[in-house]
Amino acid sequence: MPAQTLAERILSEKAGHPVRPGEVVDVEVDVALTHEVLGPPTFKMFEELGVPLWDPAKVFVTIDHFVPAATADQANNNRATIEAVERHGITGTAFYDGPSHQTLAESGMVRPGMVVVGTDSHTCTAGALGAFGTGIGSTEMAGVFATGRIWFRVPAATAVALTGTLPRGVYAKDVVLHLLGRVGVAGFRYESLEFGGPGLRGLPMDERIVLANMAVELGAKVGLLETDAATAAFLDPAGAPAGPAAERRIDPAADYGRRFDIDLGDLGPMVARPHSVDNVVPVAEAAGSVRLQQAFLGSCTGGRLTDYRNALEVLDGHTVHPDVRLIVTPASKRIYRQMLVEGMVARFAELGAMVMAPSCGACAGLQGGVLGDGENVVSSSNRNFVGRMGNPGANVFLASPATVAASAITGTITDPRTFL
Amino acid sequence: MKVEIPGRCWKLGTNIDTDTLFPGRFMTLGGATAQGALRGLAATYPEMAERFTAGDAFVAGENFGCGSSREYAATAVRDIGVPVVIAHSFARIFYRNSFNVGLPLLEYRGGTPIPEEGPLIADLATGQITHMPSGQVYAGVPVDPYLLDLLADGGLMARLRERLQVRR
Repeated sequence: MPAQTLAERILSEKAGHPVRPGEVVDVEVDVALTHEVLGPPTFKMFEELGVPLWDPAKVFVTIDHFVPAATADQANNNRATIEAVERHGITGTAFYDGPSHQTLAESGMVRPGMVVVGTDSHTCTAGALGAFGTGIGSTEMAGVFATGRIWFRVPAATAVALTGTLPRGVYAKDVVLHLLGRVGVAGFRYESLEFGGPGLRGLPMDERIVLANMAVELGAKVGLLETDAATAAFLDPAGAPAGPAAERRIDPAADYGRRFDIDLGDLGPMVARPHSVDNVVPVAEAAGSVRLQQAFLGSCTGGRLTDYRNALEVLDGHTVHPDVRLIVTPASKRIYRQMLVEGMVARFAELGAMVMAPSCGACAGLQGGVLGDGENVVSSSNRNFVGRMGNPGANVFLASPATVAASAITGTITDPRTFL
Repeated sequence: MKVEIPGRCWKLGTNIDTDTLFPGRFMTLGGATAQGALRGLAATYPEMAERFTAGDAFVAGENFGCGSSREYAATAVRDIGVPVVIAHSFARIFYRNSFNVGLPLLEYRGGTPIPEEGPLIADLATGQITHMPSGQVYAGVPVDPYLLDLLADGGLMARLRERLQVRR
């Protein structure tokens, strides 16, 4: 068999023959994810088809965006989701536990080599676990619910080989922002974006997840990472094997259309300015450019333990600027509980931060930190489109949790190395 | 398959994202209406949002529909009466969603701008866009036959309904 990309390998295993980029394959779905925003219309369409759910054990349903509900309309979506889950005997759920991408990763349902589809574009986060994860629409998910299958065009692939180690004050978020600055939001459109190399394997899982999570921001279909012992340990701390795709490396002989070699040691803190994720400059260039009213530490991109440890390292011995609201929204209840154990919730509270229930919240502009007209926010989340955080008149700056923390101290965009 | 654009073409920019096409705050069962599309676009294109009428088309640059997987973005554009979206390229989830819900998309990367005033006819199978008043033809990219069939079936729901009923 010829050398294959990580995506080709998974789709070949699923299709039962060696696949080539451009070929359309019809494959079995291992995990189907939906949530209370796009789940209710999905269940409505699926039920119109009048067939049973193909496999209730392979469906994962979350309530994570409207948490806690800010309006009766939102609460009714939550209600409709609970009722649909009961009607169909779905057992894989995470209600009010945090963004689906984090709770699905924690659930143990995803294994390397699986095909995961979700009615949410950040389903590509599953690529951090070596799974072919991608976002689809509600109608398509209704079809998956009915048949357990979906078609994909086998994507062309780009390999990103990471070497070296990140300098102090620089994180995985800066790696993605660096790539966005280089290739733009359509840079890897339709492609499998594959990360590997010793630099990747040196990153903790919390940081690796960021690379897969933001693959869609670069236009990619999937963001696939090499898998190793750290992947297996994340999936099962007790040490259960992660399956046949547990140790996969990028094969340099495979047909990668483009290759990027990034020495992590060359990178610095970056920021994406409004209103596009690729409007990226080094933090130094944006430093002092605006007065901030809000700093947000949360979301499926920037709300994990490593993020909060990094942010608190910056905040240690400092105070939050009086004009800035610091909002902390952990990516899962498991993370929240560990923050309690490590005293991080108390430290954030002492800093005057609002520590919120795990949810998609402010990132999606639904509740828990919507902005006023003309306000500026620096956020560890993933999108800064016009209106993304709930107000088309507000401006969103995206950065690493450490940069968010440094900026919260000064009230303007600030390099975290100032405080390290 | 031919699609008529009886109205005019509104020129939009590059990377038109799903939050612009359908803001998150409209995404509830009770709150989702087609008008969400125009309310979101109004922030960037106020004149278009005010003057848009059903039968007008969108003509945009690269990566139209990037961002979220919310199918509301595609259904809302369809439901306000856009017969076809023409763009240099489309983001992949939006591309699948649009054909699944019966909204035709056509890639046009030509250097000559498509006229703002119609009517125009878009032939999806050949990719040719014809400006009726002048007869001028603009060469877009032919739509894949699989997707033409999907449109002819009335979208994915209609197809699933038919196939699953046959199987039962």
